[in-house]
Amino acid sequence: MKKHILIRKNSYFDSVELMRISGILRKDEGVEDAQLIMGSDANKQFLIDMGLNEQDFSDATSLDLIIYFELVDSLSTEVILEKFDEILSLKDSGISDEYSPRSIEGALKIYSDINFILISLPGEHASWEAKNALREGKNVMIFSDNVTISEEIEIKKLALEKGLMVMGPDCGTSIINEIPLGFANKVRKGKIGLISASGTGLQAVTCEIHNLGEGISQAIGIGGRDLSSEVGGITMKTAITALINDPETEVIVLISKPPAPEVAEDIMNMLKESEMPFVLYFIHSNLKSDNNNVFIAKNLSHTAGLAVELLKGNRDKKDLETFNLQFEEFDIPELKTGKFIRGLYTGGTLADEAIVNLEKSGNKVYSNIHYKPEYKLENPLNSKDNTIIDLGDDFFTRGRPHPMIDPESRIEKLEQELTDPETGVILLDIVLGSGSHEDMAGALLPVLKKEKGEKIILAYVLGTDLDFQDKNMQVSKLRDVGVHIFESHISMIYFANEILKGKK
Amino acid sequence: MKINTEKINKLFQSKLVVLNIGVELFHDAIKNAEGQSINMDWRSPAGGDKRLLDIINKIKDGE
Repeated sequence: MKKHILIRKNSYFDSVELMRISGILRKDEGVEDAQLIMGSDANKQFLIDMGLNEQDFSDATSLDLIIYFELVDSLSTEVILEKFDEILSLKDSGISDEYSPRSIEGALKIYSDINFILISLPGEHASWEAKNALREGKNVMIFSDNVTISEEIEIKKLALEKGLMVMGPDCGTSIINEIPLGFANKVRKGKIGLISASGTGLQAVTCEIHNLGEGISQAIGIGGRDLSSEVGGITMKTAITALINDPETEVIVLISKPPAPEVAEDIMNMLKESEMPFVLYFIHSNLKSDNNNVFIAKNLSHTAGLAVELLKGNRDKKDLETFNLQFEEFDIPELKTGKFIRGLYTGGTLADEAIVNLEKSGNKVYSNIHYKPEYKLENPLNSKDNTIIDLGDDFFTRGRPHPMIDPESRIEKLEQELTDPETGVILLDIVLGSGSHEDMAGALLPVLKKEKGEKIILAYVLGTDLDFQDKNMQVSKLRDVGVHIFESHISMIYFANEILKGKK
Repeated sequence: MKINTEKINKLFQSKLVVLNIGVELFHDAIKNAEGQSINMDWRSPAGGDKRLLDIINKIKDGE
């Protein structure tokens, strides 16, 4: 085997596309490994961690393509590079009927009706283009997560000055005017407006609102850092004002981890001044509100349920804040082997919700994203007691696509858990919608079929009947191999907890 | 600072037309959801020359 490293200067490709092509090339005979990545600092560190010589690629910038191959001696790099170029040209020929502009200014000259700009470039370039977009008077969503906090503040202040909104950076999910952006679901148009610092949290609540028969006006992602004291909640405050002023919105939902105290206070003051009913779900928070128009939710399902009740006109604060969700009736199966829960999640907020709620029931839970350092797993590949894994965490996504797109990291972990004698119950989230894998249930089936009735497998299917993956088909594929299906995440956690308690 | 959301509320009342810059999967996803998206063939402005980018930024900020 020989290792080869080549650099193509000033040759930008998007990371998802490069990972897809790397995957195709790795399947070629004689190719032991193939990594096509842009030369960002994080990617260069990934190559160093793989044991490659830093000097071979230290000059590459985030605009340069690094090509790494490990090939059998008889295979030359020329052959494999030809194949790479062939895959690229095939793709280009498929979209030749569409004109692709090369700058925002150029795009706006031809398509003057563009009114929204979605950016998923590497960090520093995302900032540059976001500022360009704002200067052109356009609202922006930044999917990229590696924008510095000082850049974020600068961009958001510019937006505020121009009367525009910047969703993100690190905004994975939004639905604007019924169009899903990033990872988002197809839901009914309605009167509930949502603002969220959590992508999967927003997906879960929008889907549950749809599944309860109501719909949403707008679902606005703000990114994970907006509510920090540095950023001061600029986008959250802008979005709240916009939804209060929106004639289509009658109830507003806010979802986040606890904001910085001074930001929380500002927001609570804003809400107090409005007549609009608000639902707040701040994960890990013991928030209380005396305001008659502010209702505190206990979990994602409760958030959706509360919003729907408020839309129907129910304003009984005590009743709404304390009502217990009605769970589907199930017979609780007995554990056959193992005694621990192992959660393999693609959605970070769902993993978080699993940790918090399993702990509330008195279970000890370890995780790669645990909020308490003493329960953080040293090695996410080694489960311990009850373990909840967020496969979307950097540890699993370096050099490979997000697990909602690519099932490989979960398949590997699932195989491990199925053979672990300590594992009793396995939790899965199957996240449907735009951006996600076209058939996640189908992709997991070969490994799920290996299970011979020893482990109890539970899955929360996050999606709607309008999502392109065909939710019913996803559900029946999983049910056919004995997986228990849940329509709400909290009911899956409740069920898992009941199994641990050994109740019939 | 007072928050003016007139332009954002106008957006909420319009048909969304997206310019996608970066991951092409998102452009395809918008189109699959019957949305309108134009995909930009992104190239770094000024060939990625940071010094030149700073100068361009200063000119733009002065506009």
